Amino acid sequence: MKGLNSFLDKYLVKIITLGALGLFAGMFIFYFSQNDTLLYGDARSRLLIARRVFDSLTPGLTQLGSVWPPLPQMLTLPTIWNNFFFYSGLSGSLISILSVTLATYFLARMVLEISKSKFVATITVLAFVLNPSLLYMATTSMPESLFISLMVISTYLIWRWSKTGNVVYLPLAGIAISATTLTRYDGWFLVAFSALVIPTIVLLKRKPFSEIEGTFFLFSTIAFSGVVAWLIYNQLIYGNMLRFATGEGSALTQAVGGNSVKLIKGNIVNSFLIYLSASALNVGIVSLAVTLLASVFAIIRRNYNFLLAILLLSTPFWFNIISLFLGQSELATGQFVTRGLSLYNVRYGLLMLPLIALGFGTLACVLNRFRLVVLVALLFQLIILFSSIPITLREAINFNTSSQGTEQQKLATWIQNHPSSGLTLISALSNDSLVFDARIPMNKVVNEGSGKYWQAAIKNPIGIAERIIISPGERDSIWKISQEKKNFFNNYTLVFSGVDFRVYDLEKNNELKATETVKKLSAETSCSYTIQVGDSLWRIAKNKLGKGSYFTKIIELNKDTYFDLPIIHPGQKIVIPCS
Amino acid sequence: MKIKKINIVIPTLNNRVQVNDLTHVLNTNLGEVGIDHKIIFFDKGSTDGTVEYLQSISHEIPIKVERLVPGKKLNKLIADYLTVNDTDYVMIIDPDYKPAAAVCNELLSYVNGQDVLSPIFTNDGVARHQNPPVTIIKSRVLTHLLEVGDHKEQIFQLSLISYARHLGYEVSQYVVKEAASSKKNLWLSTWRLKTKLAFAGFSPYRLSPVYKNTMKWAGVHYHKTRFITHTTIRSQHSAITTFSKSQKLILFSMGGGLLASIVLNWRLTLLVLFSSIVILYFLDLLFNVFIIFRSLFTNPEIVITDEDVNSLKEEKLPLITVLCPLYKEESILPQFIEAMSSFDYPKDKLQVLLLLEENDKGTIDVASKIASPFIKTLLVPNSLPKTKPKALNWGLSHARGEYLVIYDAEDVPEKDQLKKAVIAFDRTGKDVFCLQAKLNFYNSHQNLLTRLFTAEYSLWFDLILTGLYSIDAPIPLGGTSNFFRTKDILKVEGWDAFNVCEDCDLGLRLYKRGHKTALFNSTTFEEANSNLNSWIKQRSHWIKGYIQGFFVHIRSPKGFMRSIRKPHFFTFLLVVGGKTLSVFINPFLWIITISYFLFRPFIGHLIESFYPAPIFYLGLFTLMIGNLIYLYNYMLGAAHRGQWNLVKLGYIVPFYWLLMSFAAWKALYQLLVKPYYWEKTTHGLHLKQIKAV
Repeated sequence: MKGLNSFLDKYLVKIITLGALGLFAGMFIFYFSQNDTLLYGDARSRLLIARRVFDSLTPGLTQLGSVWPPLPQMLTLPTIWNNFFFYSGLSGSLISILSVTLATYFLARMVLEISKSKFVATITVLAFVLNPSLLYMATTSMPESLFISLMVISTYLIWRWSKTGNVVYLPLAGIAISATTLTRYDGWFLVAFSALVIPTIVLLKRKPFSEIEGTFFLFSTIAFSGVVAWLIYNQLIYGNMLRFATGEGSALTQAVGGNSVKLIKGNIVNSFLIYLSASALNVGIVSLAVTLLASVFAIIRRNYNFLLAILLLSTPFWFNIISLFLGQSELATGQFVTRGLSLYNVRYGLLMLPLIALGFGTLACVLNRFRLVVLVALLFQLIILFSSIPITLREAINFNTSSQGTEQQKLATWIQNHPSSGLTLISALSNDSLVFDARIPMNKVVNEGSGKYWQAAIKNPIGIAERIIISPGERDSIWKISQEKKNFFNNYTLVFSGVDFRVYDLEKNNELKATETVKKLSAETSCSYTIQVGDSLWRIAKNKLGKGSYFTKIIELNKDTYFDLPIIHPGQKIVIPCS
Repeated sequence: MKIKKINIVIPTLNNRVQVNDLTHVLNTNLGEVGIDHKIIFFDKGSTDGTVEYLQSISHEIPIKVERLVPGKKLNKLIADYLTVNDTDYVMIIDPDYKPAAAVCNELLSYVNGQDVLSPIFTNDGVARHQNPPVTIIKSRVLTHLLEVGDHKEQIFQLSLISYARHLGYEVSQYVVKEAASSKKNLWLSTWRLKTKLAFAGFSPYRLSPVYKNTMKWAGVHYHKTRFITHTTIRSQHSAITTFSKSQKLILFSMGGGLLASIVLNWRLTLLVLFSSIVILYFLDLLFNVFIIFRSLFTNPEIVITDEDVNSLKEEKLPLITVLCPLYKEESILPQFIEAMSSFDYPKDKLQVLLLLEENDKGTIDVASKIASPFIKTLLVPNSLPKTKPKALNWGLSHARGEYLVIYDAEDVPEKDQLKKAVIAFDRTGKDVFCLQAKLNFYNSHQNLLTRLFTAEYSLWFDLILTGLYSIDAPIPLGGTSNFFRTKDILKVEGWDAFNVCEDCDLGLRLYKRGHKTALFNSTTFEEANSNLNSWIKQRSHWIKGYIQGFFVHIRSPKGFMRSIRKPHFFTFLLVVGGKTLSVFINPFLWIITISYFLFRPFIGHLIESFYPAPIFYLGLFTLMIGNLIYLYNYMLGAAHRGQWNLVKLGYIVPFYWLLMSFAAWKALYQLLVKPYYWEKTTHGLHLKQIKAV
């Protein structure tokens, strides 16, 4: 018994972590065999975004776009080029599984270090890893797992700093937090919040002002670097620092249509209630109560270690309420209907899970003698949660079984049976997941990120697209354009007509013309040129166009293809004006 | 100066008649003046019975006859003889010259400490091209001359004199009344000799210590100058030559190769050049981050607690020698005396030696007024080179302590530092030869410069050096507060008097000889340079020293590779070489970067064409993230030491780097023009400010 005890003292966290890894891997195999891992449209969209960096009409890092923070997609880059990893979604699932495993590790470490109790650490971890919503999300390509993980790691590091006073934890926490800012915009709230919390801790320790100031700079320099980098990227590539917030496809422009917005936006009580109910759907009511109780106890007992962790892990709660209140996001939990869906973005409630898990741990720690009660409460909660399909899975199924979802599946099968030989014009902002479902070759898709092809196609699609897919509604930029240009679909035949989707194919006699235009466009009064070793744009311009300063013309022609011009690499194919 | 003992060297060839007179006259004369002498004949194969005659009289006169066997040269024979029979002077006589004995007498009367004495004959116009018949040379000098030159026998003495003059020895010539005998013109041989000397390059010649078992008065003769360094470090391990011959060859061929490849394909050359720079920077960045985080996580320094210090038994404490080299430090000296006096250490177990330069009247005056039983002044004999390490070597030969520590005049060590060092030595193994206390500043808040300087020191001593220690890498010592066991520092032969960063050099030498340097938790506070000019001088001095150290130690890099797992040759390259090199390159990279962003439409493509795509992204990373990390390191350093108000200054550290680069280029200029020149740092500027307030 004594031997076991000391063995556990040494290896408990490792055992827990390995166990969690096994569990998540097992869950992946289970959901994968049920074809559930790619049910979320966003999961497929994210895979597509990453894939397009290598494989599209206009490949390059710019394909990461500016709608979503880039980190989740970037992490899949090492495997996404591979067809199996891409179409199975394993690229993203691997990141999720590793993320939640890491989260488990750090959660276990933190609680063990705070409470010095193996029981408390174990109950916390159980509350975390056995949550069915998480178990499903951890198998998908969605960014929630990564975000949860980075949030837990940041919390651990900040707590560790406050405990030991070792400054090394500040830059480390800064790195983790700047990663959260590049994962979900919720992270932006976390970074601002931590930048307030950290100096406050120094203040509470009654240190001089210089130390407050120094700590702030030490932390913020690293923590805000992700935000700054993202702003600079948006400025350099799109010329608009705030494009991610105000530009095409941003949450702001997206969150306009839903009727639930009317009830939630500007109404703090409704915002609070709806997020609370989303949380309850993910983690259960008992858990919420336990957490509330634990927080109260932590305050009464002045357990600052737990309090700090609770405070930091509660940021998603505040962020989501504020975000709903400001109308920046939409949520439907069954009471309201958004976009014809009764469950929409309910998964946001899952971000509360680390806080809930810590709540169980905290309560077990403060109740000490009655800690078995906490265990019973947890088991009770888990039984309730496991008695129905996890809400995150239900949300995904809900979409796919909605009229739009079923029609999308129907259309996908139709497209696979009637492939188009030419390019397909389809909006990435609304219908990206259809591209994935229908297995449309990615280099035959023209969308908002296709640069000059897109520009030409929305002017006059005849020369470019042999097929146009739209879904009537504000989100679809092609639909919006077709509303303005009355003759947009002239020469096109409606070949698939549903409620949510329409497919137009170019009439036979025009097909030839399209191929020619595409060819012309890819050449467009321009000739292809392969970069040689030692070339510079200046030299090419001088040799081919007669004057070195004409290299700006080359940049103009290629800027949509290669964002990093005028950087050129030997072997790269660019187009230059034919002399 | 009177000669007590002399060796007389006479090469003979069928001089049966001449030697008879010569031997007897010399013997009588020298006997009268009371000079202990021995006459050695080197016979080149006489057939007239010279040898037999000499042997027959050898029982009455102190004579020794050596036969020259074919294949063995006169040079070598004399040199061998001298090493066995040491005297102050050697007189070489040509027996063919009849009045030799008379000239000898006259010349001997002129001897007064000169290196070489030779006669001039007034009545002879061609005397210049003659082989002098008599020469008196100091034994040490003769040994040197014989070693470096291949002296032809027919102009043996002339050749010796020419070499002596060329090497910078003092050659005195005296007019004698006797007539020159031979009118034989030796201009051809003389001309040959001169040509040879004009193109000869002489390596430094080592002067052994005067007394056995000490390094006192040891030195080196180089470039017509005699340097007394009080250390026996060999020239190839010393910065007396900044570049060795082979290093010069390599550098020139590298420069030539670079030039040639620029002519052949300048674009590819620059591409390779830029790529290597980017890779170097990236590696340096990784290494720095690794070292700093290791340091922060493991806190590898030796930690001595207050309880440890309090539990020391005073009567068991060892004697410690404190060496403090001073030069024009009269204003700061009282502060130093105060610091020494307030040490928590029994004063009877302290030997504080103030090392004063003979010509530094001001400091000597102030120092001589100090009456303290444990603080002694020690005059460093005037000799070249006038450097701090030379003074330290002199101090070392007078140290009586079991341990020895170096402080600068402006240092204020923590009161328990000596005790902590004693404990730390007990705790570490015998392979730890040096304990380095950490350095910081007492006047960090004087101005912006001192603040930045402080952040730099906090980073360097508290994070980087401790990190290097934790991976058992070579550590460039920081000039003061280095503790040694006296016997250990003697074993590694003290300090290189020619290196302007003798501390960095010593740290590397210790490592290469298999010893360790450890850091312990005590701080010495110094004066941060508050004046920009003075700061630049000091910095260029350091950078010069680092360059010297790099080129000295890269001559024999084997010692850095202790084992496969510790390939610290590369650490040496990065820490001493890379760090210094980057200071030189930085401004150009910044100019390129800034102009890239400012004038991107005009020169953007040109700059980019120098970077292959992966290198460009790596460079972009190093530039954006890397520079952020580099300046962040300063913030970490300051925060780690609790200097919180310095943290925000991390953002202006790039300007500080610019100053460093300026100092670096100044250093390079100085290194090539005056390599041993010691830029004196003015101390006591903080005192002036206090007074003004």
